[in-house]
Amino acid sequence: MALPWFESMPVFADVGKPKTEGGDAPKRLGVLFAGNGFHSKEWWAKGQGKEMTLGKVLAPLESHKEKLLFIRGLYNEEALKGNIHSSMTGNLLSGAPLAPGGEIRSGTSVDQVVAQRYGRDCRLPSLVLGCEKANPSVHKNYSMLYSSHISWSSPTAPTPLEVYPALAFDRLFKNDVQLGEKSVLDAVLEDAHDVRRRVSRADQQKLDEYLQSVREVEQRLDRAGKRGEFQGWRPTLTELNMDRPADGYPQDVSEHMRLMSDIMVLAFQTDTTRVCSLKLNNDHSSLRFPHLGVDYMIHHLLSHADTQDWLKVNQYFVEQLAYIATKLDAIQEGERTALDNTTLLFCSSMLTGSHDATQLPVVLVGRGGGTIETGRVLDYREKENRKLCSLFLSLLDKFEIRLPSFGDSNERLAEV
Amino acid sequence: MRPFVTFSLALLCGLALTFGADDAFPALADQYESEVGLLVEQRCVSCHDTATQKGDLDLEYFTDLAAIRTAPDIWQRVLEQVTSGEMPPKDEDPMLPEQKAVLLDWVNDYLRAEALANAGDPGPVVLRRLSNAEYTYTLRDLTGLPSLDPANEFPVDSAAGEGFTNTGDALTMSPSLLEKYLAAGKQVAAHAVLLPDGFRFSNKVSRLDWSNELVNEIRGFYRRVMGADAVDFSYRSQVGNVVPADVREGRLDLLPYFAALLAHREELSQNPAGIQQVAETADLNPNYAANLLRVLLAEAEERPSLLNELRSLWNSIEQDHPEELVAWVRGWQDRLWTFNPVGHLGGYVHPWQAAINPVIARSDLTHRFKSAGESTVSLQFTSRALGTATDDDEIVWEAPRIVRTGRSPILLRDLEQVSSGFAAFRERTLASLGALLQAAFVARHSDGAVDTKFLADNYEVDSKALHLVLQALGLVGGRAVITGHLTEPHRNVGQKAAISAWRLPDVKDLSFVSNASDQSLNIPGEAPPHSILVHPHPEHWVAAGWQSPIGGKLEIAAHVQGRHGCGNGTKWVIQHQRGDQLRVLREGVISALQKANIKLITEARIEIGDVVSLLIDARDGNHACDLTEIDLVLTESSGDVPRRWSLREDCADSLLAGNPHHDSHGNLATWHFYSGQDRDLPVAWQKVPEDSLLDRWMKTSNSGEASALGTRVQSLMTGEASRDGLSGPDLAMIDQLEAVDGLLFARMDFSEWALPTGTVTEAFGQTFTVEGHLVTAADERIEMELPSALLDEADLFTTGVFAKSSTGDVGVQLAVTDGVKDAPMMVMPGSSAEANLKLAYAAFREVFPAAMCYARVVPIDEVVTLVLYHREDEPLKRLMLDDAGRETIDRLWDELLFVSRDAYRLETALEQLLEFATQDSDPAIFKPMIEPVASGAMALSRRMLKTEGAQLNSLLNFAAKAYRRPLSMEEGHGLRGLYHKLRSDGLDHEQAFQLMLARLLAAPAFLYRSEAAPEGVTQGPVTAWEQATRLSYFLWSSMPDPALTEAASLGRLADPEELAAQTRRMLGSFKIRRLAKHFACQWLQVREFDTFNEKNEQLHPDFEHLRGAMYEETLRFFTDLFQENRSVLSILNADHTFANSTLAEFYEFPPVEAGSWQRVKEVRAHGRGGILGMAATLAKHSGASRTSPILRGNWVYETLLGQHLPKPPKGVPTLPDVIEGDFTARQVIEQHTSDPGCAKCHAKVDPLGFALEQYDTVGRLRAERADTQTTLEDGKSLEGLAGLRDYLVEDQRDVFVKQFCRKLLGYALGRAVRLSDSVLLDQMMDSLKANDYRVHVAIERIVRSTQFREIRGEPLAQVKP
Repeated sequence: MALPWFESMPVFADVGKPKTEGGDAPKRLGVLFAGNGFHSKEWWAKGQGKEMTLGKVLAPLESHKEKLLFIRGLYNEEALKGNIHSSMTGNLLSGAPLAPGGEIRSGTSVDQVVAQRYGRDCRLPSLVLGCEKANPSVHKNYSMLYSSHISWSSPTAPTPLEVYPALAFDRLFKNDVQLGEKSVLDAVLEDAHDVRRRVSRADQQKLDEYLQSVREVEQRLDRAGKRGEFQGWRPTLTELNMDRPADGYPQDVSEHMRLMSDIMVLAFQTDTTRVCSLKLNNDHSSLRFPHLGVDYMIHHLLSHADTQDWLKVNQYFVEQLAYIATKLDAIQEGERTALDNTTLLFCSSMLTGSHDATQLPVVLVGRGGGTIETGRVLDYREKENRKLCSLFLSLLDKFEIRLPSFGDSNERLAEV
Repeated sequence: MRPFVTFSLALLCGLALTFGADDAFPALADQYESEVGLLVEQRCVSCHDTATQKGDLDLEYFTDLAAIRTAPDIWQRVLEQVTSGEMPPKDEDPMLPEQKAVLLDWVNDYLRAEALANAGDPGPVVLRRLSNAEYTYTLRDLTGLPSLDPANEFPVDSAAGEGFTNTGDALTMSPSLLEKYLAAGKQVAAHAVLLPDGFRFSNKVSRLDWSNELVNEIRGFYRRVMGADAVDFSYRSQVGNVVPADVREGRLDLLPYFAALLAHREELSQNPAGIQQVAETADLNPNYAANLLRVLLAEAEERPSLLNELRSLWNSIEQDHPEELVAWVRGWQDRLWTFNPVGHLGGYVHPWQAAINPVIARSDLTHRFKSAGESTVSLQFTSRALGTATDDDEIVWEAPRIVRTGRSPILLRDLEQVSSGFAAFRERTLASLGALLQAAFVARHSDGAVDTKFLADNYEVDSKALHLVLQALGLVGGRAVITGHLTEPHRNVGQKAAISAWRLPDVKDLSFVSNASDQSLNIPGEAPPHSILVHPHPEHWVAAGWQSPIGGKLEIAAHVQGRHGCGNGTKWVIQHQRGDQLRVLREGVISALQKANIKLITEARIEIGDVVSLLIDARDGNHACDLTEIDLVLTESSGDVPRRWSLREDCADSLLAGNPHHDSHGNLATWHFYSGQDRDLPVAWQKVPEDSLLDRWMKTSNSGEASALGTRVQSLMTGEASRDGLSGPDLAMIDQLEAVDGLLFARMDFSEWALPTGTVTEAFGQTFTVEGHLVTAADERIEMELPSALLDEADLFTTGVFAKSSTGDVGVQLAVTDGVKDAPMMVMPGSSAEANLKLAYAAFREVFPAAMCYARVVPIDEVVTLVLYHREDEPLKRLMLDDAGRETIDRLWDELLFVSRDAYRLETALEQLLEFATQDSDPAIFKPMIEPVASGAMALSRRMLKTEGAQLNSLLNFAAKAYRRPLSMEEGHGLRGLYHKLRSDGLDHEQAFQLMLARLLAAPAFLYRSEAAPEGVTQGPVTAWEQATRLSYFLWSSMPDPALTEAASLGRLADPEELAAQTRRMLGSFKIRRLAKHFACQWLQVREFDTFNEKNEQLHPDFEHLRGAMYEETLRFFTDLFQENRSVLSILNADHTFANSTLAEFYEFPPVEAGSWQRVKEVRAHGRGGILGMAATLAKHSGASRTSPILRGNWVYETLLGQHLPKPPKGVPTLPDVIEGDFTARQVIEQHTSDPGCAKCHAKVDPLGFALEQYDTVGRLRAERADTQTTLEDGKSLEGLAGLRDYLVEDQRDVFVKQFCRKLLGYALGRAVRLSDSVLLDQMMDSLKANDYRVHVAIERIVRSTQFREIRGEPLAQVKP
């Protein structure tokens, strides 16, 4: 049975209003996901700071070594249950159990917890981007929706991915409120309340997605045109420095990823949102990479082995992270760069292409507004407390969201 | 291979009916407690205990049957795991066979009992949002716009339940999606066209496009009524063409009507009602055919009647000559109707089709005498009367006269005297030419003025003859001579009786026109009442000249005004000519429609014979639309009663009375209408031929030589000297001296021999009155023989009028030739004859309008068009339409004028035009429009305000359609409230209306298929509206159609028979393609295969061009399956498929005609048939570069047979994508899967895939033979697609059919199939078996099921998962 929508609202009673002191730039969270894990021999980092050495998969991050935190050996208990692929992805950022049998239920993901807390401070609570359309089928008793969505705004509502660059761009910058629009939203909201009275409680929970969506759009209308009035800090960029991407779905994967990366940076730089996830591909993906000379089905045929082709594709994904980090690092926000104020979490559904999720690949880039000590390698393989959700609790702390537990964990990772 | 798990209740059904399901539970409880529970505890609970819960499974919890019954799904898993051997695990001791049997039997029995106990449970169906596809189809069906694709860039829907995107769980909502719905709703709302009584949707979003749609509808309507479907409206664009040419412009082709009526003349006379049948057979408009027949069969009228003439024609004509009737009608149509241009000022000034009554009060007649070499020429005066003439009815032929260019007319009565007088005078003159020339020589060499009289006396010659000689040689001045007279009279110009014109042969467009009527006429260009207009030619100016009958001082005024709005204007000149002298008095230019500002000329000195003329010339050589109204007014400067001449007053009503034309003071040749090419010089006069004797005489100053030359000329002229061997110049000289119009006699004034006025004269056997008139009876023809001497190339002019004594009861046709047939009817103004004639014409017009309607709707007959839509279809409505037709065309026009907001546009356009007009032309012409245009705009405003309520009402009706149920009162109030809120927010009606539409399309009642849960019961029927929605979305992925909605509103859907009947109806619809797409293609995982891009472009460059056709094949195959009720087994074993030329070539079928799809039979012979042989499924389940027997096998195993594979092991080795060396994909895989860990799964699926290895990665048959011999896990051997197909159809039939039923049920219900559905699945299976597997049986079973017709009650919805 689905949980009531309200359960997904974090218990924030113990959390104060996050502070953005005077001229301090806000903290941002960016999540990048690449499915099917990485080359098993080349996913590693050793040493500290400048002396750090990186495996070949991570080579594109060479210039960001000092702003990077490599974490090894974390795992997600729930991902080991259920099925391969879909059940390893749909709960990656929540640690929640997934409902099988054609039902849909996961948990609110860590990025959306942050978004729901910070959302009212900027135009968009969050931006959820993707470079591959969702797969509309049920695979081995689990909906493929799980393998297509990492961001969940409630346990039953995955946040839809925006895969069209032009539409993602429009979401950032369309700022016009049409006369009467507010009245329309009020009216449909009232409709929804009426319908809610007539349907079963199970259906009411479903309808709450609609209610919440209307409320959020209304809030957005309220905030339209008021950017910069929420806090003392003003974004460094108020004018666009990027053309609107062409309409439609880009045929070229590299162009697609580059555009989405640019939009993420732009969203942060203009303070349109502070939370953004970018799903570079689906787990169980069928993206091809002709521009890398790798033109075959990635899933099974490509990822199940440590081939050179696989390494190329891995590096290509990490290059996107490096690209975003480099752009953010070039944006000066007072004493610090935007990268210093951001946490970029790079992750995958499994460590290697052969479905091994006993430990998960995690890299953090950026200093989280000075809350994260970077230039380090942490190894939890031998430790007792090595839950991915513990890392999420630590990260939430850094966003001043202090929860007693998250997913399957009630501990923090002390070292992070 | 182990038997596939197929859970069947078939055996148990009879039992259940006898004993009831609940009766089984006590025994099951006993057996569990005594035996099975212990087994579970021993073999399972060690791992699956409450503490460990391995695999999330706690079996320790199940201590008794009551506990088990709370979670039957867990026991389904137990059954699966143990049956498949997954459990107990390999590293544990296996179960003893008898233990296993006991466990499985019990679990089976238990599950059967549970299934029966809950059979018909509607199950938990989560509130469903419309999927993107459903949303799109619903919008399309709701708006009727099949091209809408608003969800194109929405996030892709996910699947849940049985793997379909119509399952509530996966259909989530989010703020961004809601915004997309709102935006899409606004886009759709932009297609809404407000109508007087509501609104509709258009494919287009601009007002102009909406208007054009209506224009096309109206034109289409006209075309259909008039029977000209094939004709388009590509009108000729040239300006000024106002005569409609054919049926496309609204003229009805009468031939088929008369042909049909004539063919059935006798029977129709007996039985007029038979016309309906005749009309239908001949494809005629029945209303017009009946109207025609009524006219033809009517009693003859007593008064003069054209229709009487038609009736007698109709009765006498041969049956196979309908074209004679048509020609007769057409002839009269052309005479009794005229067409005006409607662009520019359009119908505001006059209608397009206007009635004309070609009756005249006077007949201006002209006749040109031809040279025939005879001494006499015959002339007739014919008058034919219509009606019975009395003796009092007489015709006066006014002053019949002969006119030769450049000189005074000769009255007919004087012709004889003038001819003989002139002949004698000419003879005398030529005989004394020597003496005359001698006198002239003196005159030439004397200083000072020549005294002709004195000289004549001196030389003893005739002084008149001497004067002629002096004039001919240029030694004295004289009358100005005008040449270039317009010689061709034209009556009835443009079918308008009041319009007459003088023209020149072979000079196109040049004309001198008058309108004799009281109304303004368009010819084209505006001809005001009683006006004179001219139209120049680029190389010919045209002029009106006044040749003065008096001498003295005059005041000269002129009027020049452009009368056609499209050209560049004209140049005008006023000049004065005396003798050979020419002087320009005034000149200037005007632009189109402009009036020239011409300063009055005062105190002009004029002598008798001087000419004052007004010339109009094309400006800059451009004469388009140069129609120019002119007038020339001359007034004496002194005198008691100063005489006055006005071109307009003297000539406008009698233009053809002569050229030269008389004036109002009794002078017969005052006004001249003429033309020329060179404006700078006076018209050329005959000159003395160069090098002739006379020329030499002119040049010599020697009197002796002159005298000799004069004598020589005289002797040549009298014939005393031989003319043999004369030079050309001399021969020309002789002609010039002899000819009536030559050098010498051209200035001869014939009036010298005229009889004195005031005498009654007899001539040519007729009596002429004192005025020189001829009088005849109204019905008389007289003929006279005239001496031809002076008639060569001369014109006769006369005007016929009724004598004052006439009764006025007859009309006459007059001619000065034999033929009066086509002459216009002349009546006395205000007479009874006139009234009767007009009645007769009107009666004809009533039945035979020249055009039935203005079918082009949009006028293009003027360059500047103020009127955008012109309606004129009264005849069509009256003669051809029934009430329904009239209502339709009225509604279309009403909508056009409403939708286009033409009244507003017109108001703005007129304002601009007025502003423009005051600068450049006379704004007075727009005056008639100002008031109607303003009131039209005001009426539209009032109308729009008034229709807002109706539109809002229709919006509420639309809301009910969109919500798929009637609105509640509160909802209605709420919607109205929002509308008023939006208006008070500052939106105008249309904006508010559009936003309301967007609001409806973003409402939960539209976006969600909500169903109310009955309270207090476990389950209950859904409402009629919910039932209709369920059925419609199951079969059509869209809203109910009107028939289904009606059944719901009548409460019929509670009856399963009605539901089944509706289902059968709906299965036949084209919309069933959506079931093929969203059920069948999604089940087989090929939905949207047309955009599948996972093929290596290098290796398969053609794939991109093939995939669309491959997908279409699958869609057509399943659409056909559902529509034609084919066997479910045909999904596997069909021997037919569908192909276009591309696919036929790819499949190596016999060729299929390009551009079409065909059902192709006997495709098994080509290795195709059923889904196993479809390129779409074969290509979809392959790699990018090579085939994958694993994927294909897995597809057969899981998708077609519904089996589940165990979990794959960790650390799977990989396969190279591009195979190196000489290994086939199969060999590589076989090697790969020899690993025991892998074999667990691969042994089940790979062999199935090997059977399809004859097809490459895009589904093409490989040229070389592949190894498709394969042995399944259970030891069964088979080969190739045929072997696999037979295996599935025969050995696995039930498994496959059950999987089909399961998927179809899951799709229909929008949820995963549950244990409690087992009974229904078995019923579906049984029905299929008993009915040749016809697919409709399975669908009907679902539709009739409790699951499909009921919903869980509120208590159950909360308790059960």
